[in-house]
Amino acid sequence: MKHWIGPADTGTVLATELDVRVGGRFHIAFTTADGERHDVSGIYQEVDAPRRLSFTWAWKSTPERESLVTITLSPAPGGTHMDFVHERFFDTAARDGHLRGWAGSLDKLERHLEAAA
Amino acid sequence: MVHYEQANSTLPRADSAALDAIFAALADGTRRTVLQSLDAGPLTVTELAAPHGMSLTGFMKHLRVLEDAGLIAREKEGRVVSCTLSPAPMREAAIWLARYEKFWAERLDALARYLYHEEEIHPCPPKPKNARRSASAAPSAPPRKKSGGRGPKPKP
Repeated sequence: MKHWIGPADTGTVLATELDVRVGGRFHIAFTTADGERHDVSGIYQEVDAPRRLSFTWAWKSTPERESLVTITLSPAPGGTHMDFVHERFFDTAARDGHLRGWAGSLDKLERHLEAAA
Repeated sequence: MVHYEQANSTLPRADSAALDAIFAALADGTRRTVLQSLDAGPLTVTELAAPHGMSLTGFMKHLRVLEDAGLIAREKEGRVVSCTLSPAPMREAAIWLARYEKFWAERLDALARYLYHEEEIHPCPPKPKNARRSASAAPSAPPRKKSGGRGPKPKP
């Protein structure tokens, strides 16, 4: 996870603490190129491996702005199809920021999986 | 200034750590702008952050510094956080600075004396309107004999 989590300009991933069970908590911390440290955490809402995972998502700096991530995996010819939904954003700025962040993260995940294959 | 000195002797002195926090909080342009923005009343974090064009993470650190120094208060209503100015601790900082006010005041007095003196030696031709006003407002200023003849005659 340290290889791909975080936006495109992620510096170092400092923490990936994941207590993956319903009610369990995760905490991820990373730095960005500007030297800023970002801490995000949440609570797992649904854990149905290997099909569905959902968790709340809130940055340490704005804990009141809680959003929700739901990931659904399904078999597809030659691989796995992933539906990735991040919803209940505080505002459109948060939505746009997370769209950029996740795009960077998923690009890295894709490269990481290709390298591993 | 006299009021500040009196206040200084009667108020409990702010501890050094509190003053450190206040001056450290004020030692940043973004944070001073935030304080100024809150002059007119509470604003949400979104409203406060908008003009600064930085990441929310970075901006929230500034708010944290201001909050730790006691200069703003945060109030949460659902997912919306509003910030209110809490200027009271700044009084201690103002008291500290006010002790040095006398030095500027002395300098300004010296400048004023110098300028009056210069004007006495090299009087510049004053504009009639100003001359009339300064003659009436500052009776101690040296009389300007030329001024009477240049402008319209004063009413008898």
